[in-house]
Amino acid sequence: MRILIYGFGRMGITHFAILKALNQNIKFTIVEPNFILRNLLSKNINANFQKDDSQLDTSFDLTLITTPPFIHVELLKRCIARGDDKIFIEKPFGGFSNIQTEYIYENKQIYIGYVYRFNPCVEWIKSNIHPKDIVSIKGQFLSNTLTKKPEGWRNGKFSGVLNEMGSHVIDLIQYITNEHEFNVLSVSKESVISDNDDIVKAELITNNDISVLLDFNWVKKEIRKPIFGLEIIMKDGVCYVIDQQQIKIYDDKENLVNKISVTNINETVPFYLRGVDFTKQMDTLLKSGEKMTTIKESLAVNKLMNQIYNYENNTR
Amino acid sequence: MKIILGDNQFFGVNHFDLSKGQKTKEIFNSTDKIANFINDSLELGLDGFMINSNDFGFKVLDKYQFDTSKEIHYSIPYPHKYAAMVNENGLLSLGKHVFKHMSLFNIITQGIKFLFTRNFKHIIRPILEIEIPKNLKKGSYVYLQNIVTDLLIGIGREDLLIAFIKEVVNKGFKPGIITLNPIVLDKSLNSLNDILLTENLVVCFNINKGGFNVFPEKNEVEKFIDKDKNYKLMGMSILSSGGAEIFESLNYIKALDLDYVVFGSSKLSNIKSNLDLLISET
Repeated sequence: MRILIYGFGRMGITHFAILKALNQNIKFTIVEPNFILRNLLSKNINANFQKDDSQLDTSFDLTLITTPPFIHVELLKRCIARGDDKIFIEKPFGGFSNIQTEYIYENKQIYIGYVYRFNPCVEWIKSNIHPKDIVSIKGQFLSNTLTKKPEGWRNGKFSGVLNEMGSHVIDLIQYITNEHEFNVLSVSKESVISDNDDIVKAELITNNDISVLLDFNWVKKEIRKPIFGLEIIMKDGVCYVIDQQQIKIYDDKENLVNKISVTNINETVPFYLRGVDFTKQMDTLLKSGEKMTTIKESLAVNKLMNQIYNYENNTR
Repeated sequence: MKIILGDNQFFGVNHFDLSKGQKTKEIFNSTDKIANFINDSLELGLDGFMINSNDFGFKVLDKYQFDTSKEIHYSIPYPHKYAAMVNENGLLSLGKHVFKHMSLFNIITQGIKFLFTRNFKHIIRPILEIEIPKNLKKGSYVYLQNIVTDLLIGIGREDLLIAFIKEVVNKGFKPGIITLNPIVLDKSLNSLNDILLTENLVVCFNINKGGFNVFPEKNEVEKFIDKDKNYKLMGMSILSSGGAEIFESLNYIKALDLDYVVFGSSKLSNIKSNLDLLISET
């Protein structure tokens, strides 16, 4: 099996390590334009390192695009032109400014890396509640990711808490509710450390009247590890509160009636690095791609982020 | 089986309940409180304690003295510090950080070797110098955290784990490796025949009755524990963060052929009752 990876930053190296552990017979080609990084990695990692893809004419079985988002679309076009079989692009596909549907190649297997779909608690919710019974959903992502002003593209419009953290939660909300059309009712944005959005809050409603609240903050000092949370209220008043580690179920009188922990939903993976969900995502990618975010779904995420980001401008 | 105090409670880690983890982190909001809790726990009869090289952990070992008859198990690096660095400024910022904090001696000896060969093994010694507090007593254990161990296994650089073990031993400490993939790691350690490196080596991995985060799966890890090995074994996550009944969980652990177990709690009463259960005859 031949795999090409564009970009060998934190995500590129994580996926590389997991894929290599899952399948010993993969031949990797890595495109890393940074001279120092490429030079350093080529002496330490057994793969064919290239500075660009100009010499790569033959199609690959699988290509992973793990570069910054501003180059996603360009690289996708090159993968399509080369005839690559399956393409994985890290989230958010091209950032929230990328909302053009011409990139939906219906006959191609193209997936976007929204890894939380593989979280055991999310999988449990997806299997155990019916989207038509949802009345409201709150989505939260809190972290202390930014401690000082980021440099380069991470301080520009392709970064920000909405693109980097919020997109995960929006994808989960769309995945769980099966809703892809939203009306934005209110938005508040704040820049604290970066020149971009560091805190975003939004109130939305879906075409089927599910109310949605979003709360993203990646400059919250008291948080040690990033946490995402969902709170889903059903028509019968039952409420599901979900984080990475547990699901709490409350009845219509707000009594806790059940608590399901990841310790109860045992998942086994052949190789663990950074989380069960990362391994499951790569394992699925090597197989059918089932459950993974399609390019069409990811563009719906981008469209909603775009609406939220530009909301104030539209209403001025 | 030696019993070691873990450090999750100090740093807000709780696999079962995030909010509970956050609350315990607030209880231990100073190095004094952490050091006092460690001393109180050791007085209960624990054999030692484990602590990570984050800001608090580093200071605790640099500033406080502990009962010299007790073992110190120190783990490096603090993964979140480096993850934040990479998030903000990319992978190369790690290299810049290491070079910035290297001593002149290490720049001359290891830095030049690294620049010529670009082999990561030459930066292990400087990293140890940065991460290990000067006052950590010789003979203490120094572990490599699982996020690094498992990444190195994944990228096929198990040789760097061996290099880490050698450097730790050369510095007068005992080596430890934390992994969530103990069976994969075992294949790499099989080739390690140097008794000087293996006699004190401890491999630390998840094992618990519920099989939570035990990889690839509980049955296979149980078989791995039973197998003859030239290094010691430490079980962690043994209570699966409260996900199973404590009594049954500890009885399960007691039946395993482990050299060490590590567990934590924010309450001394829990530590005492768990210790009592672990050392009781039944």
